[in-house]
Amino acid sequence: MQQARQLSLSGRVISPPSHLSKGVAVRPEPGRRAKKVKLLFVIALCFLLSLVVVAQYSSLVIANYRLSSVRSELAAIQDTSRQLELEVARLSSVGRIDQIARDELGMIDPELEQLRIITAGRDLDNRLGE
Amino acid sequence: MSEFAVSRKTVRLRLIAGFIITIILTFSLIGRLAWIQIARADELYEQAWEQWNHVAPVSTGRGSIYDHQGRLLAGNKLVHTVAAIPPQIEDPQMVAEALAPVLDMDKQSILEIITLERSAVYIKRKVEPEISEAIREMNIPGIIFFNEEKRDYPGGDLASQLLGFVGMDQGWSGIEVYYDDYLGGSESNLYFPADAWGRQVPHDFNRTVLPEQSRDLYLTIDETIQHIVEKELDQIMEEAAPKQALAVAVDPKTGALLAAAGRPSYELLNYEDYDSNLWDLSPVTSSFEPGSTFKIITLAAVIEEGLFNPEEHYYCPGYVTVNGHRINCWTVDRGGHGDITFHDSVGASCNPAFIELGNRIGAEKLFEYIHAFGFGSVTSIDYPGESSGMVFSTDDVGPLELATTAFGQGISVTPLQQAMAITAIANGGYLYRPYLVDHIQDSDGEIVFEQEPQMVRQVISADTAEQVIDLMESVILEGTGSTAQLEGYRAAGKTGTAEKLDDSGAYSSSDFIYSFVGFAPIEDPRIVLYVAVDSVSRGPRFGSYTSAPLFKTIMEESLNYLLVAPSELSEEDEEQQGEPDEING
Repeated sequence: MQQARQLSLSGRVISPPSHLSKGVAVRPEPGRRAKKVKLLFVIALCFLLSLVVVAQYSSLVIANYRLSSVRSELAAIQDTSRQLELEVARLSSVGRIDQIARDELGMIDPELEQLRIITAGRDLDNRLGE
Repeated sequence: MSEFAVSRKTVRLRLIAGFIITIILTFSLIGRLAWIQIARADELYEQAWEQWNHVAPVSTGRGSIYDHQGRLLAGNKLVHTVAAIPPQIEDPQMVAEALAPVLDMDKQSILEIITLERSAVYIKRKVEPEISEAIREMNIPGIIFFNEEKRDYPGGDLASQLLGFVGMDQGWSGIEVYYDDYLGGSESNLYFPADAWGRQVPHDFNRTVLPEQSRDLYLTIDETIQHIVEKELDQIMEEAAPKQALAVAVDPKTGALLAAAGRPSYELLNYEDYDSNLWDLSPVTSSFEPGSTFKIITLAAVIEEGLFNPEEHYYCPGYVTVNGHRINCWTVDRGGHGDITFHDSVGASCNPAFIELGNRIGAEKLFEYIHAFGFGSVTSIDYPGESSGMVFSTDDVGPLELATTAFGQGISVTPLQQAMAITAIANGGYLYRPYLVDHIQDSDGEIVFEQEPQMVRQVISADTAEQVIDLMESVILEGTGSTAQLEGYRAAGKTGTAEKLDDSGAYSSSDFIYSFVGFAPIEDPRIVLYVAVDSVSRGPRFGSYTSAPLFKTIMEESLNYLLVAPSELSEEDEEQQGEPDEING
């Protein structure tokens, strides 16, 4: 429409008669195409940015799942570790060793003469032995 | 021009109006969204969370208990809790029928549980993994499983009275209840999303809100010494068949308990099958007449007050009469000790001689020392239900009460109080507060509590302590405690025979509590040990055949375990090396 407008000599804007505007090929203004391209570029940019945001959220969710899975694995390993600690304590308990030594291996308490206590390091709580 | 034609201006106005309305609507929508998403976000999220998610409580595993060398005494094993989500159970009758035999429960009670109008309910907690596995294989919709932990004891029933037992989630006795706040942690919750009908949304979307972590206790108890003590107590129970036997071992330098046990005892995992009296640690919770072991207190008091001359002679006719009451010496049948020095009266445990010493110091001073040694009040050990024992109030003490108290009759004390009093003599005069927990660690290994030895007061001087120790050594070398003489170690001690009251309230002539208290080695005391054997019913009925040998065996084995050099060896080393200060023995 704007292309079809003509300026009169007096400067007033007048519209051409309707029969004249029909079928008239009007050449687009060069600046308008550039604007469209810019608009498309902005839309594409927004789209890409939103994709980046979605991708970030998605990777966050995946990382969370992975974290949760690792936590479960850690908990399972800790459970196993505790069970093994219990088993080690059971097998190395003084009562069990004493029973095996006396009942199964026929061991007896040593006589005092059979003990030789080294004097070096007594200051370390008197706990150093042979 | 058509009659319906509108002017360009009108069109423009309509367009502008439409545009403004659209703008207003858009901004209203944005405003509403902001109101929901920002202003009321927390409140609405909370409401939504409650709608979507269902909660099931899950308790955490208790903290472990270790001995002072880090050896596990009480840990946890993995067990499973069987729970149900009632809305998901299609045929409760059939489910109850299937679960009852496996869970060893009544079908009706299961039915009542799984038909409750709740989002989730426990059916049976802490079942063994084999049971939960059997149920898992049934693949019943609406039946879920939680991992939990249950107490387990690698050393069996070692230190059962000391450790105490645990109910479903809480400690009920012993250390377990005293330190429940540390050991128990807190309850956690398992959240899982569910739809409008309460059905669990598929996929592994559960999450557990991590609870406050429980802490581990590190005791002052040594597993090996505890084992030695319990093994020897079992032995004496078998040989002499007494009503009970007990022992408590203390580190004289700190007041830390190294071992404590009583017999008979109970099984930790079957505690409900035993009399509740057996759950308590008798050296801490029981009190009885001390008998002659208490003479050490009178002795320390008179020495400290300068009223004791070891060379002074005294004549023991076998009894004394106080306020018209005849008090016998244990040698009354053979006419008493006769002429005896006060030094020898300690080794001979002469009652009349100690009544004389009690009279010399007087009630007020004697009871001052009795209280200063910690008798008549709790020691404040970190164990529940400690007994304070019973001593006379000074106002109520007449000549008879003074006489009986002087040799350990008419009052009641706990084994722990006696051990701590002897600790004060062994370490040069300082009374310490006894304790069982050395430190507490959190799950990251950080120490959250550490118990420093607490000296309560100085009761006697180092010189007095030294004189008392010499006299206590004479008890073992040449007195009533000769059967407690240790092989290779110098030891100090005192025998005790307390008469028990019979049903008529009079002292029994056949029912006694034999006790022995002492420490070793004298040069550098490492262990103070108190043992008592109550009402022997088999074999010889003398302290020299029961409590004194019990003391000897426990002490020798414990010193060997601690690799304490024998006293004789120390002297040899002293000669060889010429460095007496380095010989700790």
